[in-house]
Amino acid sequence: MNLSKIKIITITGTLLLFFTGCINVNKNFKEIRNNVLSNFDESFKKSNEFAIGPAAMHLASSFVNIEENETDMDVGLMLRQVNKIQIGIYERKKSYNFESYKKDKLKDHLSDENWTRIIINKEPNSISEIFVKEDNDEKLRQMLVVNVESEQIIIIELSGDLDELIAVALANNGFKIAASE
Amino acid sequence: MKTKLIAVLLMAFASVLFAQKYDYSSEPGYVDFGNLASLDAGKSATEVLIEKNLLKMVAKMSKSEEPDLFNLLSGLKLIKVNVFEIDSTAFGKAKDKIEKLTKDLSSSGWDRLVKTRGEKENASVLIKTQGEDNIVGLVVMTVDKGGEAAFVNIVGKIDLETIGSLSGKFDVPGLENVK
Repeated sequence: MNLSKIKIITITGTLLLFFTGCINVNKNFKEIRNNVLSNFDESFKKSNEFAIGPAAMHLASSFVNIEENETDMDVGLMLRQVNKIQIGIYERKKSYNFESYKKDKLKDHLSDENWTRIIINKEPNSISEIFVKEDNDEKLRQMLVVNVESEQIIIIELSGDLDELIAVALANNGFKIAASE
Repeated sequence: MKTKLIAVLLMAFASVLFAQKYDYSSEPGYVDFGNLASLDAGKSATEVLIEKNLLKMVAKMSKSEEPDLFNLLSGLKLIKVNVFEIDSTAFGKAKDKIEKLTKDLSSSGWDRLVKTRGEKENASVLIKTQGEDNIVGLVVMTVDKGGEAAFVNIVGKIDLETIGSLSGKFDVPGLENVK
């Protein structure tokens, strides 16, 4: 195989990864990120953002299905229901007064974008909030997890057919879901 | 032109209507616990709000193995849970809060099922009925000196005989007091 063919394959593969959303976060996630970070007086800076797209999710679910026990098969099933995971990690840029976090500020802000908060869990040094969004058919299509700590914020967005995923999480963990590690 | 304008306006109006979220505060069984910030003393605090669409999904999952639970969850519209890890100072505040809320709810048509008062534990369970047999709201408020205060509001069609199963199945605090 000559060098030019290798280059073509590499470039094509990289472009495919980009277009299937397997590396970069999309515009929608950036809007969410801007919305979330605007609640913190922009005192956080981007450390890392990446996406796991449909191709990678499908691959992950294929690996899990190879296992034979029931729990792993359930995990595989749930992985297939997630189309995409987008993750952003943002570090504190200047000193942030963690105690000034207002419990419902983010909720009120995101409700304008039709996000509904289902869980908020506050610990002495961290806060986690979980939001969901329905489509016009009242199906849960997006889930947003925002984890705030003194040093960083992590934003995770899941997209897909999430009804069953969230229902299983609630059924298995009860309402202590946010407190579980 | 005029027809098109009317069509666009109608579509915009319909989309706004569609997008409006359901207002649970209009439900007779809904309770606003007010500002619970005084109980949030820097230790852990959790708030969970599960609305009817998600409850229906959870109900579907239990349909074949736990039909009683399926029937129970299918009738619910909202489960709201606030849990606080508290110290001795907040224990006194939580007790006062429970007393006040119990008094307010009793005077606005809620019936008290359980009232427990002790040095180390307080609990109050109230229901809201509509008609003769329909329970449309349940409130459970508990605090124990061991370190936890819980405020639970369940809205929808409630069966008192099976509501306690939410305690074991979903870790909803305080429902073991409902018998």
